[in-house]
Amino acid sequence: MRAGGARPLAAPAVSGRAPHARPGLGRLALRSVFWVAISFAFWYLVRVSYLRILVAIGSLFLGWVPVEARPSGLLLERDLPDHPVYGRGFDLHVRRTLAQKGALSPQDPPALVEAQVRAEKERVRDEALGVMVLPDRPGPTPRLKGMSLHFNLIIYLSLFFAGLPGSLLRRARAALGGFPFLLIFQVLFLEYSIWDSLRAPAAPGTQSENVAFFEGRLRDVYVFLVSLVPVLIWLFHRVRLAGPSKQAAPNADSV
Amino acid sequence: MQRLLRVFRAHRESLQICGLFGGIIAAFFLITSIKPVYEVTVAPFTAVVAWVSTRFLEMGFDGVVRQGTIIRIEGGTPLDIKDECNGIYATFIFLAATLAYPARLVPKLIGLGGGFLAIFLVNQVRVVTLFVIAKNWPSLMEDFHIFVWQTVVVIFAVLLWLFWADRIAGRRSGPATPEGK
Repeated sequence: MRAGGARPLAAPAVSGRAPHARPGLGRLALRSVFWVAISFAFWYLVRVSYLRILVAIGSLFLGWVPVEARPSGLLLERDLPDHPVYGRGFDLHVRRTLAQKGALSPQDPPALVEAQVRAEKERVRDEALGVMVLPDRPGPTPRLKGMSLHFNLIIYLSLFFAGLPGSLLRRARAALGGFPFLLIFQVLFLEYSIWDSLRAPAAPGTQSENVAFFEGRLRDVYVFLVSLVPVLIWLFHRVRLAGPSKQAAPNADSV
Repeated sequence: MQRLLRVFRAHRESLQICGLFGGIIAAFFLITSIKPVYEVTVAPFTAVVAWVSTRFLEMGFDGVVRQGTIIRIEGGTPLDIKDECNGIYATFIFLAATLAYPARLVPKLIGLGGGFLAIFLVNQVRVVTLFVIAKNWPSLMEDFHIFVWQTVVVIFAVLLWLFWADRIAGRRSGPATPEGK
């Protein structure tokens, strides 16, 4: 508190824009839209490779997942049609699904059937971004939504480039510095998803209603929790670079 | 250990604010995950979101019907507004960041009220847009629902907070005093 309620000295009137003047609201909004669009585009370009990296790292820690039926591996859904074992099961699944939809009939010539099956597999290869958890014994292969694991890359990049002060290089360096933490959290979320998909459901009557409610809610807000991590990492850098103690400095960068 | 302490001291302010932010978010989440609390806070809020969305949709479409949190229209896919779609989590992020950031009481109250309202309005745009997408382009629904709008609402909440921290909380010269927390 200032003694005697003295007002701070008013800044001298200057013409033109001061070197550290803050950009207007419109410019801020434009800058945000620009970086969100760039982040979406970047994510779209790297999404498959990035998911492969996450799956490769996640596979290293499968032995740590505390479930009885340990997973023997992870597989990108888009690689399923070519898998030597699970590919056959997928082939049958595609044929059965197409038949159920009425897209295939026993009267169709084999060449037409094969073409339709091939087209469906191509569609999966092009569109699917899920991760399959391969069990170590015969049984269902749980499917994880791979996109929710790595779409937070968009939030991360948008926040670091639109919401940090300083030059592009400085923001890029901050983004790179925080990236290992993002990767660690994404792998942790992947392991949680694997555990959640493989653990045996609680026997009826052994779990209280409140615990069941909490677990259901945790599953519901999974995407939210995943998107919270980049916010937390960004906030750390934001306060470090332009926190309350820095705002008093006359040459503090604006955002 | 000494090195860790040095790192901690160097980033004390960041760690304090981030820790407080994480703690408040966790508290919001844990408290609203208690079923009786959820039923008197989040559930009615979702009902309000559905009610307001229905009012907006009625301006552009005929035959919009709401049953609880489910909005439907003849010939379209019914939309059930759940916790991920009511904007409550983006609001949590904004409120927690505003509460955790050192600022005086008045700017903080302006931030809390204004931010809540702004996120509520953006979320209405989200629900109405999703309804239109579900009606006209159902194959795009999942991508827009989970990835595009989820991302946009979170980014909006954070950038709104940034605007508040930079322009409203940080408008006065000098660092905030502890009593302003």
